[in-house]
Amino acid sequence: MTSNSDAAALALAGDQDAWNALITKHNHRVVVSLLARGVSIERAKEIAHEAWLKLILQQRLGRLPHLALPGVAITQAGYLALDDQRSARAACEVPFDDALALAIPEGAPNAEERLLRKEQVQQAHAALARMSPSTRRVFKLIYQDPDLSHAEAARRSGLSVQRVRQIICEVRSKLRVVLEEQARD
Amino acid sequence: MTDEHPTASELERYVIGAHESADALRLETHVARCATCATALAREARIELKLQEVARVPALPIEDPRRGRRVAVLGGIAVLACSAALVLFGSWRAAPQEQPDEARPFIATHSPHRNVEDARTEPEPERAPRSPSGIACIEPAYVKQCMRDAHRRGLAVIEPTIQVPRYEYAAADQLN
Repeated sequence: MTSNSDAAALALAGDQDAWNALITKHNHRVVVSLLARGVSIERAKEIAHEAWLKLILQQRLGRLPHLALPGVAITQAGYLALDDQRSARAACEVPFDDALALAIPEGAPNAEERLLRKEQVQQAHAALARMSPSTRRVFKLIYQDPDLSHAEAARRSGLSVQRVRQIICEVRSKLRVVLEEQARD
Repeated sequence: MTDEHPTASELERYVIGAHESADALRLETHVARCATCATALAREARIELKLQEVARVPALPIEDPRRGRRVAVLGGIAVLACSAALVLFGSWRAAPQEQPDEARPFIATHSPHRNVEDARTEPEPERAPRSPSGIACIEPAYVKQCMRDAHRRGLAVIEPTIQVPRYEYAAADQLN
């Protein structure tokens, strides 16, 4: 079993199997990032596929010195989603639900948004501090390292995969109150 | 089966990647045709991204709302202590200067330094009649406390001669 860095190195060397393994592992996160931007699920899957193809093309052209996944794929997919939205606007087409389409941010957040985000993050940290050490450990393992699978997080924390997923759902339900205000905006 | 709305738990499991392939396909097929579920799924996805952001940012110190009150109380105590120390110091300074009680100098009197030559050549300027020992309570917030202390120690309370400009006065003048 190859490690994540080994798989990335093989992919950078042009190994097709390594690319397939990385896509299988990270594609869902790319799709979820597009859903969060308000892209419909069908279009999100298409854009994610297109983003992977572009990355492979860049690698073949020798323009991809590093491969930090899933970040680079999410960024690539984000650009494609923006292009998609702009071309839909230019053609006076509404891709799907208006409110969701407007959720795609076109630029950097303004000062007020940054302040709100900072406050939310602080509140979330305060809520996390009140949780048990094992819960905080699982949260950090899962969300600080996007490369880590639930199974690997379970192995490192000495818990079952089922328990790890249960903890993730518990954390989400507790932080939902803090984080959903931003999500509603 | 695809016409049934997925539960919130199913949407959550999909977003965190804890779904089975068959369940995922069923959910995606439904969400593609259901705007309500698409909105709910997008909300779950946004929460997921926010959680990643929370994990990326190092924990910041959380401000304790009680800390502000504690600082205010401690500050008040410190000001009171300083006021009391000033009163005590003033009375200590005033006590050994003159023997008779009625001749004790006023602690807040202005006494510019003059050299010896000046003292010899210049006539002695007229001096204001000496006040009995006293203290000037000039801090508005602690006038009552200061007066109580002064009376308890047998000190006269002197009206302050320096007019301290205050914002309220200036604001009132502007209004008039």
